[in-house]
Amino acid sequence: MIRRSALFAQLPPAIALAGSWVADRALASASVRFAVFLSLLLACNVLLRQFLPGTSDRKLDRKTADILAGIAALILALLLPPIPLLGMMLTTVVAGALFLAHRTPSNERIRRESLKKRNLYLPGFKLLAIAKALFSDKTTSTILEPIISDLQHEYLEALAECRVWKAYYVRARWYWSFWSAVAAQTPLSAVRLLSALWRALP
Amino acid sequence: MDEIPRLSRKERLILELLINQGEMYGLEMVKTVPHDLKRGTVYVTLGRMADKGYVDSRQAKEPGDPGLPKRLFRATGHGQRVFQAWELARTAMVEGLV
Repeated sequence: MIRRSALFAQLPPAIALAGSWVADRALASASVRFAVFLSLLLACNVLLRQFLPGTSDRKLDRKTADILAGIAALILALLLPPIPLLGMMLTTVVAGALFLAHRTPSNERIRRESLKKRNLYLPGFKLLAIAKALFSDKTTSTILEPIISDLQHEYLEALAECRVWKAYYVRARWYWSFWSAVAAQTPLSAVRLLSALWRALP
Repeated sequence: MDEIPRLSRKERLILELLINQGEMYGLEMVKTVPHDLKRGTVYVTLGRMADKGYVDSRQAKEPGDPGLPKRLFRATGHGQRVFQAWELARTAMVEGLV
């Protein structure tokens, strides 16, 4: 699976491209070459992961793909003649298209299956621990645990749709909801506790 | 029961949903009426309604489903009767005013 950093790799070429328009010719040439290198790095990485079997899952293979892509991109960037800005833009677009094409349903299936195996990566378990420490078992199981359950389900739905930013948004939204519920429940639980203590007094 | 059962606007809305659509979990309710129910307060309201005996709940874990099990809520017989009585009272009041 392509890491998020690969997507962000598109950012430096774009910045370099913008810089080349405002800087003088020498700097423009260097920045374009650097941008070409970064785009080639991304393109090679995507291609290698696409065609090397098993690179989606295994950490070692991912690192191998990274290293091979780095070497290939460096050689290509040095060997290629100076590329005009249009060429640079095309390279970036092709690299971006390859990146999107790589995100096939089969990879999503692998990700979902991997998530199913590892509950540890689901958000909300720390919040659940806080809830268990602060509130009674009944309040935790009927009010706060369902919030975390819904958070996890909506989060997984967003990931299954490949919408990483939506997943972040869902997480933030549910975290806010969790603390809202804690704020709403605390006075009620405090009154119940005080009332129980009052009744327990001789 | 000596006291007259009371229903807040949100409680009435939740009971109406549960009576019309059967078992639901909190997120489903919020998605059905997004402006009236909020993610942060729906379960607090449901917890209060469970204390009053209007709803009861059960955990539902689907096989192979990652994460914590969902909690499904449904209206109890008492909840349904309170809702119907409330609706009758509301209708009578509206008719009386008109």
